[in-house]
Amino acid sequence: MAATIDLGKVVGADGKDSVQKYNYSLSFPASGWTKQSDGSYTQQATASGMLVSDYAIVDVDLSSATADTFGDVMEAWNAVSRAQTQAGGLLLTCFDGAPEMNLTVKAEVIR
Amino acid sequence: MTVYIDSDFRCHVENDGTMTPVETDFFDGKCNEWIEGYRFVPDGERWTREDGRVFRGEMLAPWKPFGELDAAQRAYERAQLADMRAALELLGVNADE
Amino acid sequence: MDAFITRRGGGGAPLNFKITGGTTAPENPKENTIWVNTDTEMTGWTFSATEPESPIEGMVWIKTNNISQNSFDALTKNGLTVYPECAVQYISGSWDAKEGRIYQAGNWIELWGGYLYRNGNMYEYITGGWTVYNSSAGTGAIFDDNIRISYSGSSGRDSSVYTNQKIDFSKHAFNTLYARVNITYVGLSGVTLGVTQAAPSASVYYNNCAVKTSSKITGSQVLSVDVSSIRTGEYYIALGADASDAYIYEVWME
Repeated sequence: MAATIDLGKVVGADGKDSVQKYNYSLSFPASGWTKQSDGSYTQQATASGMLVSDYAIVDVDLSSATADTFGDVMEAWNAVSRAQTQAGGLLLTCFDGAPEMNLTVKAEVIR
Repeated sequence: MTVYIDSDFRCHVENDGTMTPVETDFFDGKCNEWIEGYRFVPDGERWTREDGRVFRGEMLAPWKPFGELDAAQRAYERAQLADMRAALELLGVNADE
Repeated sequence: MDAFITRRGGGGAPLNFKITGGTTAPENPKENTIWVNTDTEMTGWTFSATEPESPIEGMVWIKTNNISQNSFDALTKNGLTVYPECAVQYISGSWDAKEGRIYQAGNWIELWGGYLYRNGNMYEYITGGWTVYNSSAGTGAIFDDNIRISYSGSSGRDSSVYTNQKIDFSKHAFNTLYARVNITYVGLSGVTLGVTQAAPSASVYYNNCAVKTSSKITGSQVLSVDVSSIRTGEYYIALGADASDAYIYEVWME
């Protein structure tokens, strides 16, 4: 017998009774990395509406990957050490060398 | 020419009374700054570099950055050339003839 | 705020280095990236102390030794230290010396273990080869696995060997120049190992060296001279025999 579970009302973090999900597809070209004084590389992509307080889940877009390119894409993605939400953007940091290929990054924010 | 080496085999143009005189033509034509930037380990002697490497004489090697010694020697030679030219002029000789 | 990054560790290589070819160095290299300057497609690569059997066209061979200053751990989880010496590529049936560099501590460093000559290997991509210079009685010659500097006569008894091109001392931080020799006869100034900017001549001892060492002892030995204060400029490396005879087997820097 099927069962239903009443989860009650979903309340957003700001106390409002609505939740919004924002999906982003962001480009991080190989040429766009900037070397910092500590040797790390950073790049920020514009993500309209993103907030510093947002918690995001970020993933590399594999929709164009093939058996031949998958390893290279994953190697590039694993070069990304940290992802931080910013006001209007997503900042990626690489501590040991920057990706040598263009990356498309998916970010999902639920607020 | 005679140069004087100290206990660390560094060369000097004057003896302070504690140094060993050595004869060599290696420094012929060289300015004092060049000479005193060098180390001369005579044949039969050994010198230990601060990393522990031992070098057997005869060895002649700079202890000052060689680039500085080279620059000093070139300046010395230019000054000598200028002096020579001035002297020739004084004698009424065209130095370019 | 920090985000959650998916797919950590998946698909990444366990190797702690990367080898890449091309005519321009990679822009954002990782530590231990080896770049081989070549316009021939790199079809594969190998690290080996000995020549690979049956190479294919375009294969890059990173020669290894046990003295390279640019060693690194090949695996991310320790073990397997590699000492890269230089890079060659198999093109049209022979190994062509290629400029190779490794990215370490923020700098591109030329792959070179410091060897200038070893039992017939002249390290042409560094030295341009070696040439013997003889005075009238000099009998120096280059053999398959050694170089002889010697004389036969009563005057004009100088014999020397020089690198064909000058070595750029600003590119490396070697402190000592060595030569493994066998001096079979000593006369006059003996056998000299020198570093000089002066044009090559049959004499090394009298050729305005920046640095030199001389031996008047017969027998197998290693000549060594302190080059730690030479950090700029380009110099020939040379060995000379002044009314003396010697065989040269290795010349290198550390």
